[in-house]
Amino acid sequence: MDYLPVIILLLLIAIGVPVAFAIAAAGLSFFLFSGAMPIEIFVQRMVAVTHSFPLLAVPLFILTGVIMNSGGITKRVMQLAEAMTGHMIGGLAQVNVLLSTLMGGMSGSANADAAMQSKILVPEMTRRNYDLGFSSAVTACSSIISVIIPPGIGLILYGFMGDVSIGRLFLAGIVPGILLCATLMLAVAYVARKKGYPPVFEQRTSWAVRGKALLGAGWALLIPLGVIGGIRLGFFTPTEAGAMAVLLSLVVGILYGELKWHHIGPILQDTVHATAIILLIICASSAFGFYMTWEQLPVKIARLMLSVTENWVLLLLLINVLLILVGMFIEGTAALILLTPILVPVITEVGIDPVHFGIVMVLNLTIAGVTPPLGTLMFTTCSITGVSIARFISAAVPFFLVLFTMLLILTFVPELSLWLPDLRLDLTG
Amino acid sequence: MKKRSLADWLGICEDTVTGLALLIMVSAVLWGVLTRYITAQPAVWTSELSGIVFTWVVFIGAMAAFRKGAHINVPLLVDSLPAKAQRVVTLLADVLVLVFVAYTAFLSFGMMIKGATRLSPVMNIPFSLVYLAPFIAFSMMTLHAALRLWLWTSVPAPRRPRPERLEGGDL
Repeated sequence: MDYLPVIILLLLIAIGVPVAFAIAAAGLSFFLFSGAMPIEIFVQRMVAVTHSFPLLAVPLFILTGVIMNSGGITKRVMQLAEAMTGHMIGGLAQVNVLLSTLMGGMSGSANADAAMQSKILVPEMTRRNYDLGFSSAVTACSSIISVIIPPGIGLILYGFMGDVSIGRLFLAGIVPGILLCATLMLAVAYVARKKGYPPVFEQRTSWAVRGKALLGAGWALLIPLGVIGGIRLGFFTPTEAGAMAVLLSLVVGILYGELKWHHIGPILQDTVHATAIILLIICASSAFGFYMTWEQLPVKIARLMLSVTENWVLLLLLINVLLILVGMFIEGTAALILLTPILVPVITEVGIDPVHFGIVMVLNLTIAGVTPPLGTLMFTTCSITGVSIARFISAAVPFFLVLFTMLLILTFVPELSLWLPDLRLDLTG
Repeated sequence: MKKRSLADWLGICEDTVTGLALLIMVSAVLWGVLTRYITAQPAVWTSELSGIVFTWVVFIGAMAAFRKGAHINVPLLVDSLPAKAQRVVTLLADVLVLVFVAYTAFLSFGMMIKGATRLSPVMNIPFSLVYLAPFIAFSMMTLHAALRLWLWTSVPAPRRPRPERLEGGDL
């Protein structure tokens, strides 16, 4: 009987019940059958989550991203990316990767990034004879960078569910994010050379033009610096930083003269929509978490996994394979919310830094979003660009290779994630 | 002018409530940061208020997403079934969801009644106002799920229209 809620959970998900409702119903079954607690606690647990201050960061950073797209910030950052990489072979594809990286510092959602670039960049690439499968693959795969570059919704969720410092996670994402950007750009260069995709400009853009583009996007680029700097120096918590980012992006959008009153309605609706879907899963997981703690499930699973191996290298390999399998069937955000509280105790037991593991886990589950069979980012991109899944996959193979290689490297070289958060800043002199 | 249907009006209500709640939430958090740095006495009510309106954003937003069929599910297994089995399984899933939301609406109602005498620590807002959001949300979801089941079983459609996969999560 101890495992009844788990069985109910798996069955409900299998028959197509939305994940949030499946998790909540499984949690409810524990309150109903165990008799250990008054049943009302179930609702209380679900609602209590929405009163947690750290989670307010989720809607705030989603809102920031939406404002940027409406406020002309995205457009200017794209001009900057074009000035920097337009002369390379496959110029627009390089712009695509660089734009994901730069935008990653502002909005924290791969899905929004993929959708935005599918709408803005892919048609332009098609006009210049890029293969649609290739442009879609670059768009979806590079959007992964925006999750790892702080601030990222995935990192916030991991930090919240696993009780890990969100500020440290943000810092840990910077180096891996830049590495991902560099390696994806190399892969793009390789494919573009083979296919003979032209640069945007004949020559390297002059530094004068680049400087102008930088000035144009300058205000916008101050936002990520302010957010990360503010958190690092202890001026504000990630949630407060989210509110500041909203304020700054509003101001910048107004300064650019592109943010208008009639944008407010759609901006609010988009944010509410994305927020509610994620948060309902968290609410449900909180009720289900009550059962897991009651039955000491994380402890039992930790013991089980540690009985297989206590070697940290093998353990991380095992967990990565497990996450890839889970990611094939369950959407990344849902899997992240559900599995973080289970896995964090396991890895801390063998001395792995949960901040390092956070980068690995978030990256792993985000990669699942671009790979078949269930890839949210893949679906988002393909449905907007109109390319078939089969063409997308065959064009994405080189990028899959890069992403999985990077996953392995980031898994086994913890220093890449940890040196920045561990860096001691002696500002006190 | 086009006559608005009941669903349109419902959508406008949802958007207005959640939009206002989100605005209040953002303003409250911002006011909290600003007062912490500018005034000697930071406003303590801000985190409480932002939490309460966040409940409204989440649950009323979830209700709107439910109506649009936008909640994430895993269609893989169901899609691979033959058409007839698919119909049976989806029907089962819909019935189970209906039972769940109805029961949760009932539980939320209980919490709402209990919350009338419990006040929030700083602003003295009764907790009924907090639990009103899930109560409304789950009641409306119940209504919607029941209506959909009734329409669905009375019309022999081969397949229910699937929600667009565009929404997804937002990792």
